[in-house]
Amino acid sequence: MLGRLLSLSVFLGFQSFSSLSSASKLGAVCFAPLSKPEAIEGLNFTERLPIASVSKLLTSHWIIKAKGLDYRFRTLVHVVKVEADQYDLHFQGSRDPYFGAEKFHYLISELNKKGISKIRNMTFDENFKFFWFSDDPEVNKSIAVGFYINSEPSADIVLKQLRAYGRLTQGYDETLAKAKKLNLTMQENPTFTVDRIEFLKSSEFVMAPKGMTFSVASRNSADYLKEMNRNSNNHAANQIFEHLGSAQAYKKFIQENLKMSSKDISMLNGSGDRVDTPEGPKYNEATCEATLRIIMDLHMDLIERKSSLAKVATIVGTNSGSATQLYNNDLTRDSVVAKTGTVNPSVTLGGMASTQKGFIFFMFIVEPQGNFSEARRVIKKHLLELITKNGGAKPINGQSYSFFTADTESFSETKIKEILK
Amino acid sequence: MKLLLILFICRISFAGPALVEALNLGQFDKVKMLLKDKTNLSYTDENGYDALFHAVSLNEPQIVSQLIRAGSKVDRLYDSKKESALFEASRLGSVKIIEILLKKNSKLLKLKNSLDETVLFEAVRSEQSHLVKYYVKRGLSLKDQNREGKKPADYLTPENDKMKKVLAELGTK
Repeated sequence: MLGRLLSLSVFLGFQSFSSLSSASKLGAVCFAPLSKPEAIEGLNFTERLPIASVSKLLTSHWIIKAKGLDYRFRTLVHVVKVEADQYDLHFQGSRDPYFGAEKFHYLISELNKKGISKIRNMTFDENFKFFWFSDDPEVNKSIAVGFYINSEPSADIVLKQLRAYGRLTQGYDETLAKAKKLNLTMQENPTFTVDRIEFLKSSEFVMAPKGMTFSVASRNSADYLKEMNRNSNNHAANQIFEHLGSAQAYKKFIQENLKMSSKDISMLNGSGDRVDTPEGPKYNEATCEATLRIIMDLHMDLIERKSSLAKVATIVGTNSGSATQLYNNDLTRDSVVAKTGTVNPSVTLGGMASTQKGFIFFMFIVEPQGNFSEARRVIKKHLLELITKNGGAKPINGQSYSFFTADTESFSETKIKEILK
Repeated sequence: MKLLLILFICRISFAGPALVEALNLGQFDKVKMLLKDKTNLSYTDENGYDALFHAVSLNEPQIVSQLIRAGSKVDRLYDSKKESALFEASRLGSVKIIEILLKKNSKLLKLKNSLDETVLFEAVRSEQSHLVKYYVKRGLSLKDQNREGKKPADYLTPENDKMKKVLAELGTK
């Protein structure tokens, strides 16, 4: 133990841990250099604690490992003509994490281009997880809002939203302006009317023989993960997690890939937000060490794909979002790639610092005991010490970016044969 | 009548914490809803922080504006150091929030904490070199001394080259 504590001085200095803040308690800290990833050091790093939204890096790790950087969620839109200019439309969902107002506007535009604007019956199945506010990075809407039960949004909630926004072109101008900036062509003045909206179980849907099927794809995983981590989108993270098979499938994945058991990690959802269970509210928990190992494995995997952690996580100062909002300063700017986390029992930060002595991965878990701002100050203090003890920051090359929920590859007519593949 | 009284007391007791919690969990729709209730604004948590402090601490300029419009007081002092919210905004480097606070009360700029420090000290300590420039431009002095006789530049982190450059440009260090 003494040897381990003394070795802390190499990266951070044990002294700093002895002067912990009075109210907030540093639950755990761990770090390791990229040059020696097996040399994980820290304090209390084998106790399982709530990791809050750093969970989203773990969800990112899962989907990258399982599907790669180019994976797209595909929602199938079955359209059948019922009158001269009237159609029935059915959504066969895939839990696209970003199927909200913006994507719907994009779909309306594409359907208009095909002459489809009057819908008689619009139906959707249980995997169409439409959430009006699933996107909207520019303004202060409820980005962080998610649902506390994994199966949400239920068919009932989706139906209520679709009906509430009866004029589904509401906010279209905003979407159009954003699309224009990104050189994506959308119709100027769309028309879209729907007579009736209903839920239809996937088992009850029968494809019409003379219908058309369109595929509406999400952006690729690199893009939506970057966006999800940037503004800590709980809804998006939870949809990805459920799409991949939820808690039981994650348990199997992490056991097979990194030999981690429930002693190391318990992921209940993809976001790290509270989960309401019959036994009461619960949170994702992991040891500091397990979290750090997963973040490192994600980075290594991305390196093999000629990328890096910065591809899917926020570069402080370079990209907007929670990590920049809370941890931006001269020493972190352009040199720290991180994900923040806040739930009632934990304030966390996990990621990688680029220092003069190389990349160092870190994970901090602070028990705020009601004082969230002080908890973040504790993390900031230790992060700055980590950087200064390693010769100061070394900025990395990163790019700012703008996210739109669709791109030029997002809409295509699909043959039934392709769907059945 | 008794039931109404109990409900009223409960509302006073729980609305404040709900606002602070909603802020910290990023539930901004809920924040907007809770802002309609003025009792939320004066509530301070066990650490003495009100909703305005939490919004500043989260670096949320829009919410800070909304809170001030709703009646939050910007001249409240926090912690044993008796610091205004401007100190917290300085730690985060948020010029937007600093300007919102100063627009409401320009006297905050020169208000010192219990250590006799202006926000310029906090800007140096928090590695916010752009704020050092900003505050000097707005009239704060790098020659000011705190209770220990130290100047802001005495808190320079040697590894912070950006801060060194700014201080050199301003004629210090």
